[in-house]
Amino acid sequence: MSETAGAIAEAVRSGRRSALSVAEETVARIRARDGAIGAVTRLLEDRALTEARAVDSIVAAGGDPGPLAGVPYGVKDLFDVAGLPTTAGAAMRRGAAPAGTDAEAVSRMRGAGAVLVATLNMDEFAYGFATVNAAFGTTHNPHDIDRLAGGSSGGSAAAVASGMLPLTLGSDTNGSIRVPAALCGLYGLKPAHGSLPMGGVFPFVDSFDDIGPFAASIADLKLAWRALGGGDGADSVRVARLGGWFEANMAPELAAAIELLDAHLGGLVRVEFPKVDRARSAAFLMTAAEGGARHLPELRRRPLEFDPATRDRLMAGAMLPAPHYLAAQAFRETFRAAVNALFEHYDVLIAPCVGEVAPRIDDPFITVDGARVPARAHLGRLTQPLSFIGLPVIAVPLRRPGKLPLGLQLVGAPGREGALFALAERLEADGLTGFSPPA
Amino acid sequence: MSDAAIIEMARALLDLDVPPDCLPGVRVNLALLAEHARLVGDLDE
Repeated sequence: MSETAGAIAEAVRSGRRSALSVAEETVARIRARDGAIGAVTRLLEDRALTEARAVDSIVAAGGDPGPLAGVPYGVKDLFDVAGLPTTAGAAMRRGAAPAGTDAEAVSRMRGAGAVLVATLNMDEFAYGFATVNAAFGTTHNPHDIDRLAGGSSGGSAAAVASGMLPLTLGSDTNGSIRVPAALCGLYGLKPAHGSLPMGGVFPFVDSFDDIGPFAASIADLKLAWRALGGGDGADSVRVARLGGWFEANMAPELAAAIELLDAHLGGLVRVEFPKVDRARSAAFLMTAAEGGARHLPELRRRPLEFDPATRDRLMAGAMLPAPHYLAAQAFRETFRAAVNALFEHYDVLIAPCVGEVAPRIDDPFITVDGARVPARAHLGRLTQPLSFIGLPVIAVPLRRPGKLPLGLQLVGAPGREGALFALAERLEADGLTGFSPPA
Repeated sequence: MSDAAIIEMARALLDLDVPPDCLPGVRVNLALLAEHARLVGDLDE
């Protein structure tokens, strides 16, 4: 496994290593590895070396640069980076006006001592679960470069899984952190809706958009969560597992792993959310309508400059009659109330993240109820119903050395991310979950 | 929904011209949205 963020920060803070040397090694590593992966869209060498020197100056003066001192990281291409156009993965935005300032999350990372090294690939405008981008290319899964990395934050996941970066930031609207985390065998956090700052983040669906980190260990994920402003603490960790919709369409090896975990935790009660299929459909409608409305001006002006894979979905979404959007929104409150009632009895619910391993790039389909359906739209069928009501979720990788990754979701009540971290730390310590580097 | 109906609806309601290249994809996605709308349920509920 590559060096952890925690180890880098400890070495830089103590003066044993310079942030500059870490940044230089990271730039060289990206140059050597990214050709086969396609995770990085812009290598920010000058900025990285400048930020690293600033960290070293603080250390030399006897100060503390922060908990992420000298830790190299990257951001999905929808975070504002001062001086660069924020492309959101769209060719039409390559010539957009450069951002005047960094996104708030980038400012917080810098305040914690982290060093920004790269911007990272995504599905155009974050609409997809594949990171197959007509303008910026396909991001390949480091565990098998013939397979999808997942999306839409695929570059953020692949950069960590390939060992190029120890930390990255992504965004999650319907599963865009959790899906690539599962397919690339990483930890990924989608916090409770609204809990991390969205300033300077190119929006997709205001009702569901959130940002969060990727990491190869739960300790690194927690470091990033705290640096971004996340809270802590867990009074109790009462665990159950999600049945029904979440147990259908699972690969046998995933089902077996969940049974093993269930037994390890002493036998879990199985609970169900009501009408999950309806929740997923409602999330689908709200996403289409809000995304379509947001991009309508450009769809009118220059439709053929969109990635065809997103354009037709956005056009259809813009045409959705308002009563269907409002019905979806009304159902959301009913669904939220029913789910919140479950959290009176449990702090963490365990569910699969994606039902099978990463699909092949040349055969981008998954199996749902016996039918082959496009991965780009359906990889998030287990994640969408959760972000629909803003729940915090940590995606955790099952420990599977030498095998393609499979992942779980640890689902909590809003504001109780601490319980999720507590369970994730226990599972990793017990050897059930954890990053298994690509063979 | 026919291509002609899609073109007319987009133009009338959204001032949006749907290019011919986009029509097959838009038609498929409208059908998908209709299926999800059916699942979400009765608007009078």
